[in-house]
Amino acid sequence: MDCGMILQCVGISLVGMLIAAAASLVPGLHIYNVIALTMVFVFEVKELFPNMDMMVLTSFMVGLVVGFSMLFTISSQFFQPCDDSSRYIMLPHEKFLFERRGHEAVLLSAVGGMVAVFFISVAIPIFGTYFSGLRKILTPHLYWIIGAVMVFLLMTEWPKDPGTGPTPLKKMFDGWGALLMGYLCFVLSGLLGVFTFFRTTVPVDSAFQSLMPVFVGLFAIPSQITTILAGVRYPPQHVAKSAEVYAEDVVRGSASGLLAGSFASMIPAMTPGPAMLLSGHATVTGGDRQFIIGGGAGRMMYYVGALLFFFMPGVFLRRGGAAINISLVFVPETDAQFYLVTGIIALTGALSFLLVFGYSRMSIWIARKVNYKWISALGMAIMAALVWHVTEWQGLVIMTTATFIGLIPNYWHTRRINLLAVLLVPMFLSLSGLGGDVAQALGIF
Amino acid sequence: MTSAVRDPELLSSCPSCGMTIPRAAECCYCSGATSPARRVSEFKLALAAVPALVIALVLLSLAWDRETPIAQSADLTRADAYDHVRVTGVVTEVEFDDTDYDASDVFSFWVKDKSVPDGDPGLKIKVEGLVLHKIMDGGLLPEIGDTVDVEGAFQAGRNFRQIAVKTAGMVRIVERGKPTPGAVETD
Amino acid sequence: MKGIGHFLTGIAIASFFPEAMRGALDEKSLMLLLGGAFGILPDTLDFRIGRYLWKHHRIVTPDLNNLDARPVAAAVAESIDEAARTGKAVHLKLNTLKVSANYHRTYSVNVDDKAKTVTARIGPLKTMGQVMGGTGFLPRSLPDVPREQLEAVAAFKADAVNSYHADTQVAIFSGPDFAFVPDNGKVRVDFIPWHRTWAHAPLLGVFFGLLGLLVYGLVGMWQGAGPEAFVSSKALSAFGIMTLAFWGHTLVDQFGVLGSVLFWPFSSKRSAGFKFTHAASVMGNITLNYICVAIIVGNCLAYSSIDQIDSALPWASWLGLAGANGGRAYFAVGVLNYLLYFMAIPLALFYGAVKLWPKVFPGPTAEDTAKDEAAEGVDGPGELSGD
Repeated sequence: MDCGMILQCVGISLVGMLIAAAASLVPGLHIYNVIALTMVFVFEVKELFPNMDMMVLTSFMVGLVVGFSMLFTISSQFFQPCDDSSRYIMLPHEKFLFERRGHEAVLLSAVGGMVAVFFISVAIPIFGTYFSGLRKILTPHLYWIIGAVMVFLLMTEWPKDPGTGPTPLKKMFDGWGALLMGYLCFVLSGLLGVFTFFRTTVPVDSAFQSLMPVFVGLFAIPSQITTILAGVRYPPQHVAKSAEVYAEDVVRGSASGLLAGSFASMIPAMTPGPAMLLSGHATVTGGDRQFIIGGGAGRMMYYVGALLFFFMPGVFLRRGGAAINISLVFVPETDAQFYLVTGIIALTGALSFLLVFGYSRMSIWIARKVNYKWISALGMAIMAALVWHVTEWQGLVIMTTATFIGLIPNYWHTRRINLLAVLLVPMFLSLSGLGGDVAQALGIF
Repeated sequence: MTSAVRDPELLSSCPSCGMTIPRAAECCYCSGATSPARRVSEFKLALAAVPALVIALVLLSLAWDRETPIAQSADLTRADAYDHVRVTGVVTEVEFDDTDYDASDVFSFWVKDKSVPDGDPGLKIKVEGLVLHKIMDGGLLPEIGDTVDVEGAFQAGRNFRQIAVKTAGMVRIVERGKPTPGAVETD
Repeated sequence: MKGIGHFLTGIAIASFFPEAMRGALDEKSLMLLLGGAFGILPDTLDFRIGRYLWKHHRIVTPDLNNLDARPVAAAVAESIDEAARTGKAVHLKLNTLKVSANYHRTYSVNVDDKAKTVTARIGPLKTMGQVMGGTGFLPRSLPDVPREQLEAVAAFKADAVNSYHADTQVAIFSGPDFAFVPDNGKVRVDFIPWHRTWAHAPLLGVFFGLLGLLVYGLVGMWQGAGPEAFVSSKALSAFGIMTLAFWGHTLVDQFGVLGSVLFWPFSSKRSAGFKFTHAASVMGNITLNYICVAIIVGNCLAYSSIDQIDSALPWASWLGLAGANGGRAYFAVGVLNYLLYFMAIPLALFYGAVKLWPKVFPGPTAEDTAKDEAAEGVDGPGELSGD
């Protein structure tokens, strides 16, 4: 490959990484939401510069994805504190925030992300073909694997009641109330997913982003609303100059995260959330540090690792929003392209890891100056504007509907993971050949 | 609460949460370890980026150095279907299917290398749609007699073998040439 | 074991059934999911239904406004003696103490069957989430109460046998249950007595299996088959999968500390486990999960048509056996190969790595520990109260 091309691609990838750093300041803004907007920009550039090698734009996207994967949870860490009146369990990184050590949580998450960068840039080029073999074996079975995940999610949520009701029936009602709301969440999300897959009202030109309003409505907007309504104040954050991190925590946390990310990248409709739930159980991760490190590794592996498989000769796996969107403008073909992308991942991964130290400090400074509620309100406005811009008023309607569903877990203390039925159910139905029949029975096809 | 705890000699700052605490192995506010032996400095953590940068350099060098090996067209079989392959040779035939829409125009040309026996026009190369027009706009459309270097996805079925070019830059004219005797241009 | 282990065990068992695998490839059958569902079902029944049906004779709820360990210790000791005196089981529950949506006041109970004492301690506040920590405790959160209320010891007279862990912490969600059961002149202390009872009984597994056979048979008849639908391959496979997946759960649980009520409804006695591992064991869970996944992938590979099969069977080639359909010997070698390369070797490497780990990454040295101890103040963490 021409040296000039390589330098061009590396340079543009750094631009992508920096843009990701800027966009990551918006809490709750998901990487795929930004990719949606980026694709609009990419199509414009393609029109304006028809002779531009698409490898250059692809490198921009890769830098964007890597930067986001490392940085996008930092803003949520500081700008979306957990209000325990609306949540049942405080996750470890949220606990760290209330213990004044949010910065240390960010460092731990970044360590996990960095381990994933090493794994992606070294192990995947060497052992990736075995992945291809495994994928060939499992491809005919994907439908029941997705079904198995759904069954597991539905059967393994235990009641969280204290068991202090005066009668057995009351106790059961206390326990089952949240469970039933979780099932309702699952059903409603599943229906929304079937509708989105088979009869979305998003304009045709934006159909490649038909999931965007759904995800913004189910996850991002409810988080913002909850944050705006939160009555919590968290203590000033201490910027630790060191982190308590042990080799065992790095290995076990990263292993869990890498397993989750690999599983999510292999199985369609799977996202890091349920994958990390499964891998955490399977590898018996224990302690705050392993959880946080695993989260960082899992996210990086899912978003970036899955993307790399798109470029891997012989695999060309189109999994995840990034790969699907890149495939609209670029077709990967050669080993040289694969090594270029892998090199860009290692480079932008390392640089975005270094950015974490300053980025976290900047976020802490912003949180000290600006009330997090205003940040969430701004974030909500930005995301609504993004949805409107990409998917027009039809997308806004879908987003609003999804928001009502997305608020259920917050206020009935049930798992947010049930909302992922929006992907799992239609994908399961499609892969098992029942999708059309079910959609017809529901009158939407 | 004993008075000894208020003695500044016995107080320290927790490295995790920054609170002033009595000296202890664990912070009494955040339960973080206070001993430097159990902590890794930010500088040491940042050093983890260095091997990643080295790996990046190695990978980018591989990208610069790596070329798709040139295959002999006669050696390509159905087992190589969907692989990315590269052939070089002389263009013996061309065929342009000009439709009403740019996106469905198809240009085919046949490339003959040393492995192809006489009388055989060679391996078919197919370029279509926007990729074709990009090549045309660059004035790089192969003509009969040209020596070309082509990469693309090898497609093979029971009675056909061809390379489908997916990227404009994968068709390279090595040398413009004169038409060879017996070469055919079809339309 | 953790739920995922039971779930995978059920699917692994189901993957041995040709009807399930062929159905998955040819008809998009959901039979494999039956394995997973019935593999996890016993715990689902216990934690979602069984615990609510359990009757308690005594419920202990310390007063949050006047925390006192003495009534807790006394209640436990009295329950043990009551069981011995009356000859009937006494079911006791220790309720959790919720301070806020995120914190619980913890307390712990230790039944020492040798010393015949019960020790109760009021502990610090604990955050939600099972894996918060270091210890998940909010330091400096011991209550400001007289020392005699913080820790109390109560004696009991009866001979007791404590088969589970001696120290039980009462922390989050629903508190622990105990059953004090007279057994051959002693009082046996059973932890979470409603767990692994009827819902783990093998007979219940047979019942579910028969239910599956009935359902598949009825569906078969509805689709036009005669009564032979009840002994069709599908119906029999459903019976096998549902029963064996259910039994698989009980079998896996036997490897732990707590056993199950194996002969319900004929006996209500919970067997002792083999004590090879415990539910939260890292090695035990990872080993089980890996073996199950390897079995599932192996069975998927066995039913696939991809060419990689030959490359996984070098021994067969060395032995000069015929191609993929070369008969039983070839198949056996293939299975042995798979067991060796994809189970034995990876697990051996894993166990080897775990053994080597302390040598490569040793914990704090004696010097480090001495430094830390020298740095400790007058009061250690967790005992600084009233600040």
